[in-house]
Amino acid sequence: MTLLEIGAIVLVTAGAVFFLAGTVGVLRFPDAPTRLHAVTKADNLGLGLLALGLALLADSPSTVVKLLLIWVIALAGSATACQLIANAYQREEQQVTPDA
Amino acid sequence: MSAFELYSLLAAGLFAVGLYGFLFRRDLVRKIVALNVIGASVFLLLIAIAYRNREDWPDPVPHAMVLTGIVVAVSATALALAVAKRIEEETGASCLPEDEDAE
Amino acid sequence: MLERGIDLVICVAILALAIRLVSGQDLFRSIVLFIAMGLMLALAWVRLAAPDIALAEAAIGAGLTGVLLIRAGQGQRMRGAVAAVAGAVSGGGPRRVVATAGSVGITAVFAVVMVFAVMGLPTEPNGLTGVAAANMEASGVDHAVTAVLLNFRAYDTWLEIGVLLLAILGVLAIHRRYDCGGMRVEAPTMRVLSWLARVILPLAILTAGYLYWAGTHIPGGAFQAGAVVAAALVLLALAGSRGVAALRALPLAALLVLSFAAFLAVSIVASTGNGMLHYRDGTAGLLILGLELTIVISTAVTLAALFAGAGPRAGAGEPRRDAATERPKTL
Repeated sequence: MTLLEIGAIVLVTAGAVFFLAGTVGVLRFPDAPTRLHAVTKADNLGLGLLALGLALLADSPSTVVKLLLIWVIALAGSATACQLIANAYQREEQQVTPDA
Repeated sequence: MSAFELYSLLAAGLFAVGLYGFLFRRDLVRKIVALNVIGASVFLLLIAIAYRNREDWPDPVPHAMVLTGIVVAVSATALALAVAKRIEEETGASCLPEDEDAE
Repeated sequence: MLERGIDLVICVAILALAIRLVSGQDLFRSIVLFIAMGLMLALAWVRLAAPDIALAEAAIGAGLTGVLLIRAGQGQRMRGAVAAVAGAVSGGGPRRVVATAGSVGITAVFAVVMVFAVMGLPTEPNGLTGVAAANMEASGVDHAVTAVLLNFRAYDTWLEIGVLLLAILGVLAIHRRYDCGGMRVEAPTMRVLSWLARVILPLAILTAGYLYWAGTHIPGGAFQAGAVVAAALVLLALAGSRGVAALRALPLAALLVLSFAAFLAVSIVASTGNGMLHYRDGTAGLLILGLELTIVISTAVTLAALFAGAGPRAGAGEPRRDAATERPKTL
């Protein structure tokens, strides 16, 4: 086993741990903002580590670029989705609280 | 158990689950979602058969059929949702008239 | 062993998601579960060596269908919650229990029948793989699925385009709308979303171009490419971008029928004497590329229009105006 392979295994395993943590967070946290916190932070880092680990094993530079591009686009997507969900949550809260 | 058997069993289960939703839930949008589940199960069975028939590559004919099916399914879903919305606008109910006092 | 374990996890997850989405009370939750099931199905397609289907499922089955369902469910969400509460009060009692047990029982019996039917399927290969492989040389492309879609069974694909066309005509007719370009600005406009939509559009067009070109020799193809562009257009519409207003300037009707008309033209002109959609020797590759390009454009515009056409009309949310007072707009 080469040094690259060991590095890839370490990075992918670390990524999987972050994904697991994010999933546990979604299941265990009480409300939308905290769950968002778990999903966006943990999963984005997990995906980054996963992409990095796979990039070490890639056989061509173009694959590395594609993997990093996937990560960047997923980051942009999840940041936007997070903002939208948080906004929707806030609006709903504002609609609910005056009556309570 | 081979992948073909596993996924075709899943197809059978999915079909039954989708059929339950389609027959026994009143809400029209729910019925449409359930119909999509049934569609997915049919696609699964076709692709499982294509996988069983593989030589160098899986049978491309079911693949092409499912690709066609997915596009047709989204068209039919959009049309069905439009009909459901119109029914709601006209009657004020999100289910069919004969279902209104059922359940 | 590990391989089969992955399959088993995927299968159990899909079935569990399906059961929850069909039996749940909250419609919005069911729709989200449906999208999740679509993504799991995409994994199943990859496991079954069907990357073309995985691409289409992720883009169309989970993505666009999900967006259509969420939009349809929007208006129902509040009422659904109310109805659920009302149902809990008025429902209940032995009659309801019997009804539920009955419907679950019928479904269970059916499931058993289905399982036996599936188990009775022959296990030895008997498909058309060999026939397709033997004719790849003459098909004009190097990817078997594309060869089936646009050469061996091009007739099916033509009718599929016809279904898309009929669906958008039906949606526009049912909504009594005459312009599918009237994408309304959603309020409140999110700056982050509109930024993302603007960044994604060129990337989506680039991806679509790649998928379109790749489809001739590796997995990918015109429908997936069209779906990617449609998704970017839907995102723009949701962000209320002014760019979408520019779409109205396009000859939308012409783009909707473009692909159907192209198939018609090919079947009349390019195939005369050979039978319907029977390409002449040596022209297949070029004709397929041309037809696929029209499919990309028509699919993208039609799928986006299916979303826009089903959206709230200008002034939606107010009580519905009388149909007679609604002035038909020109296209």
